[in-house]
Amino acid sequence: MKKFIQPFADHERLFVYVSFAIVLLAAFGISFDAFAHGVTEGDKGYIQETTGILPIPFTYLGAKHMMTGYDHLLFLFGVIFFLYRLKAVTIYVTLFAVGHVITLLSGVLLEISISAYIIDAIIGFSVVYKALDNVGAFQRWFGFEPNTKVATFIFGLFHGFGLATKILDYELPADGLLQNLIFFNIGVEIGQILALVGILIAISYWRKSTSFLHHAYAANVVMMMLGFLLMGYQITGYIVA
Amino acid sequence: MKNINIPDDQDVPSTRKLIKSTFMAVAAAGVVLVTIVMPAEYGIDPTGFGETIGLKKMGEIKVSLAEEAAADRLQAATDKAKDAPVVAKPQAAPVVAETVVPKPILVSSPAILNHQMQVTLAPNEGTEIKVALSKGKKVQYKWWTDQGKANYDVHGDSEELKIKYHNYSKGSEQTKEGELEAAFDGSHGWFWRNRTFQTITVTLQTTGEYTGIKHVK
Repeated sequence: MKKFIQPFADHERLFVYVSFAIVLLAAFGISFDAFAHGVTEGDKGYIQETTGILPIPFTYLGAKHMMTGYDHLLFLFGVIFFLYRLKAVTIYVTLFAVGHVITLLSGVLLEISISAYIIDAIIGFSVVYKALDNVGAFQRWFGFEPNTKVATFIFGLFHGFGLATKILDYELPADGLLQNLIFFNIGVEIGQILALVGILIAISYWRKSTSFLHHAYAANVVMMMLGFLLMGYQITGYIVA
Repeated sequence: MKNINIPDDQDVPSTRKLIKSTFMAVAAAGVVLVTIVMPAEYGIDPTGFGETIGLKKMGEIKVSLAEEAAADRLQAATDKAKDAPVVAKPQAAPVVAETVVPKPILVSSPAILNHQMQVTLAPNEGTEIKVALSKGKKVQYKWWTDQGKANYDVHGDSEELKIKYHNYSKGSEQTKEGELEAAFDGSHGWFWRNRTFQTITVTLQTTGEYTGIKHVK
């Protein structure tokens, strides 16, 4: 049962412009270190001070990292935006998870160090991609829609590299690295599930109202803006640093 | 928009189910906050669960690190304001701290100094011993603890050259020996922190072409 939705009613246009202004203002006001990623002096400082295999602490750090990883959560939000059945949500989230687990583990263990700015810019782009896909831009512009499952998996790989770069920055001691890394990964998945539960509850409320479909277009445009903002911030950082 | 299906009534949860889920989510979040997050971030553990799972220690370490960082910033600000002189000045006679046990040692040449120093660290306490060393000069060292491992950080700094921190090596050992070659004129040396539950003593032996040694408190 597909239906075509008209983009941008007048009040939506206003809503989008106001959001844009708020996002721009926020860009100058918010400390971006907290905005994009969850790496804090506290966590890195703690890791430097410890040795050995620490299951619970590393699981906690992984969960915390995912729950404060706004770029990862934004992408997930975009992925499940139009997925109503739990089975579909599970399939896509699992594809994303398999992708990021592969690169999270290999990225840290093989010490693949790609510039964090470039990876985070690609992650920002993943958000843009998903917003465009949701509004059907690819069909309109290119006449076809890239396979969403494949795209979710591939972007999952990039998200994993982003996670790996941050973990390498922690400078984990070699002693117990593999085990601690696996516990960190388990934590990431737990954090992802917790965040998803929250997102699903919130979006389910929204889906019950007629405003969901009315504003779906505008919401994805706002998400696209946030994706571009993330990209811009990371690319600027790459050039400046 | 082509990519959306209108959700069927059965696809979207019923209002009652949603409200129930919301309550459960808020309750679960509260439990996680009090038993996991507060201990892990702040060392605050009302239920004692945080200590059981070992996360309270994480919070305590983070809080102490934050306090030290704040104290450092304050110190840097007041130093800047006072225009404080360089801390470690090259001295003709070795400067000796209270806890030092000086040993009479034969020197091989007038330019080489030898010392043995000892510091005591309570749990979570950290301290530094630094030598004044010119670029390219070396100091041979050996240190050991009386029990347990100490986290160590061998580094250098120079106020004149505006180098705040230059790392040579770091890790966690019960004993270590090696050679430190100064990458620049300044203060170079050892920082130890005790993350065990008991007070430990660290003993350091140094031999080299340094011009002064100081226990930096």
